[in-house]
Amino acid sequence: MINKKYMKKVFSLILIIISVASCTKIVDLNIPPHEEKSVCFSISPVNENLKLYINKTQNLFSINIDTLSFIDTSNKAYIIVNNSDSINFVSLDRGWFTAQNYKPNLGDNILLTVTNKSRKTATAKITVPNEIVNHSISFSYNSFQINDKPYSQLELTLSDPTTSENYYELIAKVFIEKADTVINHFFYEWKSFHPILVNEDLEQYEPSRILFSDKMFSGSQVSIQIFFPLYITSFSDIKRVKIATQLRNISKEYYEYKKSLTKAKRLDKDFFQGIQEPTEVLSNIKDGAGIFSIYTFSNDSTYYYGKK
Amino acid sequence: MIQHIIMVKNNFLKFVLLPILLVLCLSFPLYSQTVSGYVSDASSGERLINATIRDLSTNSGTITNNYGFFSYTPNQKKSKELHIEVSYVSYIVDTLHFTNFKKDTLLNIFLKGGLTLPAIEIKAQSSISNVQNKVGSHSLTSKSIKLLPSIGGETDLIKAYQYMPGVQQGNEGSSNLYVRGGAPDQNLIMLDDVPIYYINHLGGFVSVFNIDAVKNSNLIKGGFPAKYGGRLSSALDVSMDDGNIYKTSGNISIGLLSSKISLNGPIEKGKSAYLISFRRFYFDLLFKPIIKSLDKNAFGGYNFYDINFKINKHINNKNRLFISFYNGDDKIKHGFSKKEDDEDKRFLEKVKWGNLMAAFRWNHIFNNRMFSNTTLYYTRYRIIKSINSSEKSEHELRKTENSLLSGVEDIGLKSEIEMYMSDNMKISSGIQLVSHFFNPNSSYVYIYNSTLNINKRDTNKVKLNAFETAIYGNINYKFSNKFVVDANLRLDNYIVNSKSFLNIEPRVKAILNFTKNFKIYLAYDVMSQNMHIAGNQSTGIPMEYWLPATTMLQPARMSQYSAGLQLDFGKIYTFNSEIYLKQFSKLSILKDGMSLLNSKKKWENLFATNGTGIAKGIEFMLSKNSGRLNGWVSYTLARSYKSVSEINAGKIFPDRYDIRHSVSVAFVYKIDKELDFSCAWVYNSPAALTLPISKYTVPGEFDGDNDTEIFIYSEKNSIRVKPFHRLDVNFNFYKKRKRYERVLSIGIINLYNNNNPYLYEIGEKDYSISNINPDGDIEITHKTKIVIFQKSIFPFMPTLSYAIKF
Repeated sequence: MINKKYMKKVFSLILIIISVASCTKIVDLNIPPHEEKSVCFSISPVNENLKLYINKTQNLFSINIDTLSFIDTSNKAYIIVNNSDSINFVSLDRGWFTAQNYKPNLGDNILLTVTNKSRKTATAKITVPNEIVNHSISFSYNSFQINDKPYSQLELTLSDPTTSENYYELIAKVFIEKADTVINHFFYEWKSFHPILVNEDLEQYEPSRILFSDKMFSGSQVSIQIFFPLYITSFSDIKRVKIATQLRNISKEYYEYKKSLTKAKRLDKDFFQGIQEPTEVLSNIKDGAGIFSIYTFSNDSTYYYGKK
Repeated sequence: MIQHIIMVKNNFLKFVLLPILLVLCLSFPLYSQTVSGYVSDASSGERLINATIRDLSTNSGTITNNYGFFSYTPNQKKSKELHIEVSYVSYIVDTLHFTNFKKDTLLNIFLKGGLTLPAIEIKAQSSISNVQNKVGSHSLTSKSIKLLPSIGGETDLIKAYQYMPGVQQGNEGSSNLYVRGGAPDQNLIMLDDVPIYYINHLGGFVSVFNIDAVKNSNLIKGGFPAKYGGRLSSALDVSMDDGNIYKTSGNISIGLLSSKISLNGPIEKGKSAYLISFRRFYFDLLFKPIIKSLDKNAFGGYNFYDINFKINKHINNKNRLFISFYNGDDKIKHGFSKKEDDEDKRFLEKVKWGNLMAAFRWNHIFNNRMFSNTTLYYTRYRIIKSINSSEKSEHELRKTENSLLSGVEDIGLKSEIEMYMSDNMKISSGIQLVSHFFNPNSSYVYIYNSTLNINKRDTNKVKLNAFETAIYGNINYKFSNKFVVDANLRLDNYIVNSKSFLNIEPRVKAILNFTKNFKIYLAYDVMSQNMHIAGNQSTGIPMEYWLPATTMLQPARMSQYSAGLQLDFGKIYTFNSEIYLKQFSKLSILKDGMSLLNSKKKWENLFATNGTGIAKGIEFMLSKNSGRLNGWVSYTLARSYKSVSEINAGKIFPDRYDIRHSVSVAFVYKIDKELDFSCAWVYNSPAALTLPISKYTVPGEFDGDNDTEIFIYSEKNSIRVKPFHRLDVNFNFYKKRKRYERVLSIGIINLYNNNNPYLYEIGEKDYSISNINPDGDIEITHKTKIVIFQKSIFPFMPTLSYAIKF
């Protein structure tokens, strides 16, 4: 008994030594000087007023992080569409601007210019996708068992245009409609064994949007199966379940931006991965940061009423 | 498969039989009498590696090979007399006189240990004129390493090499070797001729080499002999103790972090011996009561163990057999076991990783001038991560088991013949056949539910096999006492997925002995590596995936030009300097943000390929080899860069451990017979790092979405961290008793308490600003700013160990 007590004291002493030995301190490293850049952000659909958000990058280590940095009256922006006259943006609120008299059309070539008296001029050049790609979906409730868990299946069918490379973003939402309320959420924990999505290698990063390119099915029709858990224990108080999808035809730059953003967010802290090299979020803004992108889209939805 | 066999057969004829026949033809006629045999320790029978045999009349000679064998043919054909001196550091020199040396003589020479405390020896300084195989290499014996300061009383072989010029340790405490701009996976690390894939125990505080079971080691940085291949940057050849063939001896050691026991002795006196050594790290035992006191249902901890086992058997004067075995595993686990609402709940998460190695070796002496070594081996590295849970009640049992396995296994056969043609020429040739079995990412899921009648197993196995054949030849020719050339050619044929890669690796060394005490040397090496590593080798739980080279990820190559000089000042001081330029090509590096864990994508697409690299540097080392004070000072000036099209926007970037200046000082001072003092100081200029430097926020796309904060990073490895420097000291107290000797080691790691970088983290710090407002009142504003936290692990640490040798 005495020995046990004695040993405990020895162990405690050792632990104290080790914990004292491990220490953390704040250090000053020679960080490269911060160059302030314009941040442009626009993910807009065709045929709607073009909206643009303008802000600026901030020195991460500055003691005066400006939380209202988007309020800057010297931010100006204009676009030149198909090499014609320039269209100015008008300021709205909290960093947002709009090109009121312009709605992007299919195939437009747009050059965006953002100026600020204290920053380099930022530019971005994009081409609006040429076509709206229609799609259809079918749904089967809890039709698959994966790792002993029931998964519902969503099958997406689309015909890829034969023109150029195409990139897609699928946004799928579940609406659980009860008598007086509707609960909705994006897809999560989804899985797919279809080669097109496997090749995208995004599933492990758990994105809520599903991104893919037409590299493996260029110019042809394809059906992609996606499995997702739909946690409904009883349909007794549920009117119906609506599955709504929007398939976006997006630019390559937006596709790369979104993929890199997904990975950067997911790999921040992963115990099993150890410490990873950071992932840079890609941008199509020259001398700036952010993303400028216009997409076309098609919608579809389907309903499930439970077993009657 | 048939195609494989035909290809192997054709390669075998072309590359194996023909060179062997050529070499055999060249080996005749033999010119004059030869003296050959083994050099051994007189008290244990242990074969001595790199013992020197010197012809006193010509000052030429040879050294023993990795198995203690030598063969020397004097060049004076007409002389009947031969006087040779046999020496080995810390042993009494033996001189043999042959007055009528007319026929070949086979000798077993036994040297007596002369010093109780050996010097820290760096054997590259041997003054004998034809010792040329030390270009770009350093040798250390276990006796030397034991004199150096240690962490937690646990002296470590890898850490001793980290004090050598041109070698970086990486993170503080790590047991990695970054040799001349190379990465840790580019080191060929062998234990008794068998590759070992993973050498770190958790955090790298100690390596897998238990110093009590090690006899000798040699790190080669340049001037690679042809027998070493398959890695780009270095070869570390570690030999286990053979065991004492005359008497039983042992060693028991208790340290702050681990304890170990070693036993060796004769199986049949004078003919065969065994060695068994066991080491265990006991953090789990320390933590057990702490965890229990925090939560009585919880358990967990970390431990590792190493087992070394060896048998050697002298069949007769010409044949000797060895069986070597090593097994070491790290285990980290946590979980709970509790009873709740009549349910028995259990949860266990554990990670286990380690190596298993077994080898059978046969040394055979064909005649006085021809020696062979044949090794059949198996080696395996694997890591298993698992999460198991169960809930058991009177009526129901629910159970899930998830595990992930990654590893590599090799089965190999290699054979080498050394032919001592004359005093001027030595030829060696060999063949190596290895089957690699890669298992980069396999998973297993088991689910059982007695109520729902579910009993499911899901196994996903990813297996890749490769077959490697290497043949090589080496000619060491002494044109005169002043000029020696060592020419090597290694042909490595690697087959994976029906695709074959032939790597041609010419290597040459030239040594010019201006005087007995001054020589210069030049070397050119080509190395190739047929496997790549994906995953982290830095901080955290190891997650390394070994993968074969394929058509997409071709074997990486490296060519190195090096030159050096060596100056001996008597037998006391030696000065070495080497300059090198390394060019890497076809490097495959995991892209930033990519991970094999749970990735279903074709794994080859996760890599950026066709990378290139350049490393250059100059190394200086001054060593004192004898006297009460001995040790060395070294300085390295180096740069290393990489360039890969898909990383850092294709721009060239420095390596993480691109250390410009590196200084190390290590010495031992023998105060008296019962006490010595050792000291090691190391300085590394700042390593490189990538950090976020700016940030911006973009709004959520839909109403109610949160804003997204995005970081902008510096260019890859463009930020320099704090320099690393540390002074470690150690006292060894020896006491001889009637039946045993005890050694008490007391030391301090990081004597002047410098906080060295281990890890950098971006975090927030609150601070307050005081202002006096117009009314004269003090206003305090609380703010938060982003700062960089540096974590250190060894600011100041006393160490203690107690060992008994009997």
